[in-house]
Amino acid sequence: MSCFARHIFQTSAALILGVTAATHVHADAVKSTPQKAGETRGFVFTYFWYAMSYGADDCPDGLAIALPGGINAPPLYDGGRKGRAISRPRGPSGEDDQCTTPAAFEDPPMRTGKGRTAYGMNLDEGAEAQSCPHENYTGVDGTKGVDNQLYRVLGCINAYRPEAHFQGNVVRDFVVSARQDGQVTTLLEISGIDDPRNDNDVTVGVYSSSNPTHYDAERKGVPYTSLTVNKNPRWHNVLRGKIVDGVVMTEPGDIRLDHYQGEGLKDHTDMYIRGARFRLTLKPDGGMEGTMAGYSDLEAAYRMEFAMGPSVLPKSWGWTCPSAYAAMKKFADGYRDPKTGQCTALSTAYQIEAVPAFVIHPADDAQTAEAAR
Amino acid sequence: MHSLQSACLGLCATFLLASCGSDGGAIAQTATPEMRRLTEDEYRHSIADLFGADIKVIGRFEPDLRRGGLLAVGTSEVAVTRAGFEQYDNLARNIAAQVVDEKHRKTSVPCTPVAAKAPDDGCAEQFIRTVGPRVLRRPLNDQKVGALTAVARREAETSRDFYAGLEFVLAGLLVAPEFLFRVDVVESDPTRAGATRLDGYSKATRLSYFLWNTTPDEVLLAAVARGELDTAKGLARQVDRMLASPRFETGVRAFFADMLNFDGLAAVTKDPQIYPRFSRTVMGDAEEQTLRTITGHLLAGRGDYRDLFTTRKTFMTRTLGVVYRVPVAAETGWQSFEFSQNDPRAGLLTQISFLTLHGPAGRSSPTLRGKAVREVFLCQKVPDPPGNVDFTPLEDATNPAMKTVRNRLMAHSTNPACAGCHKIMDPMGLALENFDGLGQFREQENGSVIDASGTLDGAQFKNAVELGRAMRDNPATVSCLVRNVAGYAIGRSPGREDNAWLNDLKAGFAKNGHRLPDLMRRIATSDRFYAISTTSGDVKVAGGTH
Repeated sequence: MSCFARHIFQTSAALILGVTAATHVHADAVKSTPQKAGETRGFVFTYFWYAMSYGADDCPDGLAIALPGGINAPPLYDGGRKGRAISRPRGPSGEDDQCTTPAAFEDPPMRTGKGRTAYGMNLDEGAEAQSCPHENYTGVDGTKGVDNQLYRVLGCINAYRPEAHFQGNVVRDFVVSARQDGQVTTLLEISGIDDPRNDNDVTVGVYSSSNPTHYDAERKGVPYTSLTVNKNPRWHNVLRGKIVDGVVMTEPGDIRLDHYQGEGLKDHTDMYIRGARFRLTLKPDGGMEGTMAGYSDLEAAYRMEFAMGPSVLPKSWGWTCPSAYAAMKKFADGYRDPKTGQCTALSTAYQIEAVPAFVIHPADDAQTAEAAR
Repeated sequence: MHSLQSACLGLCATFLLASCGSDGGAIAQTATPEMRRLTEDEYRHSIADLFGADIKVIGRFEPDLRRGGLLAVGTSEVAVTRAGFEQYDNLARNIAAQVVDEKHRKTSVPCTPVAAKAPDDGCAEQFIRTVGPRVLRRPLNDQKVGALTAVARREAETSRDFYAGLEFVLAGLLVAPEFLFRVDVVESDPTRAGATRLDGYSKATRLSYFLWNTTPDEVLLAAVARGELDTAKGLARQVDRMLASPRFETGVRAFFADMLNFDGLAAVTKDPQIYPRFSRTVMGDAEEQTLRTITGHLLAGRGDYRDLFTTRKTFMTRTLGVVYRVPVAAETGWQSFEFSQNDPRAGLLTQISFLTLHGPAGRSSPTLRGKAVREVFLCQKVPDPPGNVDFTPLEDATNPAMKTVRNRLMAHSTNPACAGCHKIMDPMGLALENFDGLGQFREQENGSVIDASGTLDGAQFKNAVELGRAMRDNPATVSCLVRNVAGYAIGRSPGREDNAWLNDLKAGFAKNGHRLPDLMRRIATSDRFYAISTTSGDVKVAGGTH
């Protein structure tokens, strides 16, 4: 397997031979040099969002209730006690903002998913002791023991559902559009490939980039763009993996990536997935598709999905921050705090589509890696 | 409002005088004084050099005319139509307004008027004496300066604005024939009794547009005033100065943009369903890539011209990298790039600019590419196809027996009327079939492996890289380049009477390792470059100043 940060340029000979993989290069490289050991393939994500199964039996109690004032959320309760979200949507000076400090507010329980089927992986097999009690799903493909507790939280929120009468899939559309508009870019690089069908030792790098992902006029990802890895080391993630029958599988590892919260919204947060593992099928056209599953850090996921600052989103998209936060704590099933017994992360699954790309590593990264070796 | 034509004053008379000279039917073509209309590119560069690159040139131009493969040759055959004059007039007014506006007048006007809302003859005259000779590329005599100063005065009085007067005069200068055309003015040759020669300012204009693609600078005009261009030593000194200038690269780019028909790139369109990577940005970068490849090789690297057909070195942007499928480290702008030795690309023929320019919107065309190779790089004119050609078999890629365009062309070429020309065009074009209509590499067409082999004038090749080598070693490649540069310089297609000159240039070119700067120096210092009629009876002689 090749060392991760070595100087590799794609040889054009690979094109002659029909090898369509893109590779990683260093920014100071200007001339093709033959690859020394193992092929490297680069990709840019063109779709990266939750894998949602949308079962008909997901929400027998109905959709989650929004803050009053929302177009599709009539005020179902009168508030009552002081501090309830529905009676005090925002504090006067912001410090008691119900989305910033959701635990300070009381709210009726959130209506959450109760279906039996979901996407995901069996994440806690053999590590149940680190988990918290939860009900497993059956995978869409029939796999038993699938963990996807975040789907229970998100699965009955209006804006996360495709069939909701007003804001169907608006969150997905927002996230996907942000990627299409160049607000967030994710790169993946598989290095040390000796056999693209079966290789028991490869390295998988996952990075954020500040370069926009390119899409054509039909919103299809443009292959073979050159994209530079963001210099922020927090968004540099490296996992060990293998390839089995053309499917890349990684060992679990923590992943931090840049996340776009939305223009003008405060509290930037990373996507933080603990124990993330990828299952990605290499496609004949040079692209890749598959799943990433892992445990979404509770606090990071809450900030990413709900705590968007003072905005109208909870009203129009169908949640209240206090109820969502409480639900996340209730359904958290991973990374139990040994002191409190509270789990700090929720199992989840993402769907990924990617096209081949040239992953460019900044020159100083290369120098750092060389020096470290 | 005075008419702009009134600002021309005697300038138009000079224009007529000079144009009469070009009517001398008895004069050999090589010797005829010429009027060459500035191309759009020359106009833009001239304005930028005269008044600054931030002066916007917004408007339409009279279309340029391609003759003998070059727009430069067509410049001798075009005039200004009534509609075209309106366009030049609009351009002139717009440019003049910018030049004297509050932002630019501090640098463009060499003095400050006594009052901004009243005429100031002294300051106006200073402006005219400064700007006029630069715009018209020759000095103005006192009579003309006085007349233009009077025009500025009248306009300033009418408008109650000193700068409006300057603007009006400048707009008039910018529609003067002496600006819009490169007018040859002749004078008696003191070294040969009864003979005439180009005057120094006409020589300077030829020289400047040939080497720099722009108007003469003050140093060159000053050299003319000292008579330097009339001596071999003085001329050589100026030529060497110009070759050493960064503007020489501009001149070389202009020549190759003309020779390679890059004016056509703006009109190239590709079917977005078939070529989703096509965009105007790609085309702009493709043009720039080729020009950078050329200047990088010929000027920065002082390379052999022939190696342009085999070089692996080029420049790349990320936009182009997507089409070439190569990594580009530079996040913005350009970076040098070198294809590996086993890459299917080498030389200009495998660059996107050439591959996209010569083909229809939805497919590649070996015939058009082959025709372009013959005409552009080998100077071998291929006749146009007959009007009744049935292209249906060529377009039909659904026939399982004819999956590749080679198969379809063979079927098409069974027509004897077509076969002759196709035989000389298609082999080179078929060698480039590994590149689709957008220049993207492919191994197959409709599932069949592409056969890119062929022959060029006896030299066999298997693919585009080998075609490049065959082009490099073909004697016509060098002859064609010499012919094109010479024609570009003199503004007409070289005739039989130029053969000795061309042969001399070619020999010198070979002796100097096919270095373009040396060829252009040889042309710029040769008598032939400045040659006109030999007797004063053939043309009317204009004065040296206006």
